[in-house]
Amino acid sequence: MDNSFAVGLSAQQVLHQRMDTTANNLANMTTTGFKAEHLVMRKLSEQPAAASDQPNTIAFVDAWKLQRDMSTGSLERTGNPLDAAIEGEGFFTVQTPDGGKAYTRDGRFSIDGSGKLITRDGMTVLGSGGAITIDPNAGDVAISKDGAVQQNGQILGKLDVAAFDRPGALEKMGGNLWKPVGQTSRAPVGTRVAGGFVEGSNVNAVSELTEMIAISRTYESVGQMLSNADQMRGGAIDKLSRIS
Amino acid sequence: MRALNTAATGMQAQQLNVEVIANNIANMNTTGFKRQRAEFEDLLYQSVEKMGVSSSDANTIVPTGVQVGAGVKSGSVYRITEQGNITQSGNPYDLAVQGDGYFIVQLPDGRDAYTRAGNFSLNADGQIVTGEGYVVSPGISVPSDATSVAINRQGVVSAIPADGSTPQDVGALELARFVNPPGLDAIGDNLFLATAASGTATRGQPGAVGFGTLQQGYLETSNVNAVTEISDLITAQRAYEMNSKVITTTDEMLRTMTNLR
Repeated sequence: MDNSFAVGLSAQQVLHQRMDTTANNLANMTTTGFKAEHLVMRKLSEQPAAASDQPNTIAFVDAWKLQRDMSTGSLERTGNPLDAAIEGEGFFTVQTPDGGKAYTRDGRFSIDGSGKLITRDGMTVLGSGGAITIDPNAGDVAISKDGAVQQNGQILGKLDVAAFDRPGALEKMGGNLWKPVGQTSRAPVGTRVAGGFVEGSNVNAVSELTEMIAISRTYESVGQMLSNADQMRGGAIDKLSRIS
Repeated sequence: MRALNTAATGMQAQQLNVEVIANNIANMNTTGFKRQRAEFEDLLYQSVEKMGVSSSDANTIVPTGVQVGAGVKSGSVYRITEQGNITQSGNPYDLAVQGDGYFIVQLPDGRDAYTRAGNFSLNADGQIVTGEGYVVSPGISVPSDATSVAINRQGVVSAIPADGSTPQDVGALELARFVNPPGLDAIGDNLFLATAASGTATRGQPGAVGFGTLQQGYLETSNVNAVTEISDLITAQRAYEMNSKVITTTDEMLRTMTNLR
């Protein structure tokens, strides 16, 4: 097969993946605590498969890694005193049903029938000393800047905010949850918790749209290149067959 | 291409968002209505290149890997139980709860329902009933010879007889509180039912610790803020448009592909 076809194919495959990632960003434009991500491509150099007089290096395209924008999304006031948003680095710690820990930027908390602080999916929100239990009859609840859950001036527990050295390298599990792979959490630096607020998605619609246009135009030009190569080949076959 | 399905999940999510906002705006003037908010979560991710795997025999670790997401799902429609405004109505049987608590209403099938809408009146038997005619717990009958009634902040109903003698206490209204009020099940007609998520009702007198007080002759308006809803509506519409653009673009890419030959 011609090199041009193989190169074109590698470019189109990666463009598909980039389009999928962009579509996911736009679908999550209103998802609480969502972080936008972009696929970074790289050049994969190979020697040509077919021998020729002067071998040139040809380059394939490969999806290399994800670049995650970990900036804080816009904070929205919700009117629910149990909601919390993180300004700066870090994640809230929650307990998954299997007993493990997961991390989330989604601070839409509520209390279950027994007064335990839970996420919208019913997972227990962990404080530095375990689950936080609120007495529903003891008055208003407020979350302070340092993440302390207070009721009537008493601190019931402090939200466990965990930071990571490479937050972009956490694995997304869906359901706004993240899981660390090969790294451990540390105390956050300069992080504040905003009670009564939730963090919106940090997807920038304008840059996603321009990204989408760029992807579709690149895809078209790769397609054009492939048809040109195909025409050249057809022409060559035609001419060579006439000579013989 | 996955982008088509991903954009479809995005459009579905924004459609739900618009439906919730439409319901909020439609109920802007509904007594005791609590606005709702659609909330979203990201869907599952497919790992094209797993995070944290070693990329060589010398144990070098892939720093970020490649994950492609499958879109968005609607997480929940959350009811925001903030207090609405209190407006004067002049009707002596109109009651507003200032603070926490729901009126308890006896449904025809014997179950208890809960409501923040205090637009009550009397039925033919002199009982205090809701707009639908359901008896307000614990079932208070006002004597037919009473010229007027007074309901105090603690819910005690006093009937003032026509002959001008001293007012008589004819009963006291109760309120119910829940650990997690957003977990109540809305059944329409401003009524809610208790669920496992809300917890069981704790009954008490208005004004007791944790319970709100009553205001006679006032009603609680909805807590819908028109400006917030309209700006949310614009955001939802634009997000819907963006997702439809993804579908158009993906379609164009597919056309490019089929036109190769």
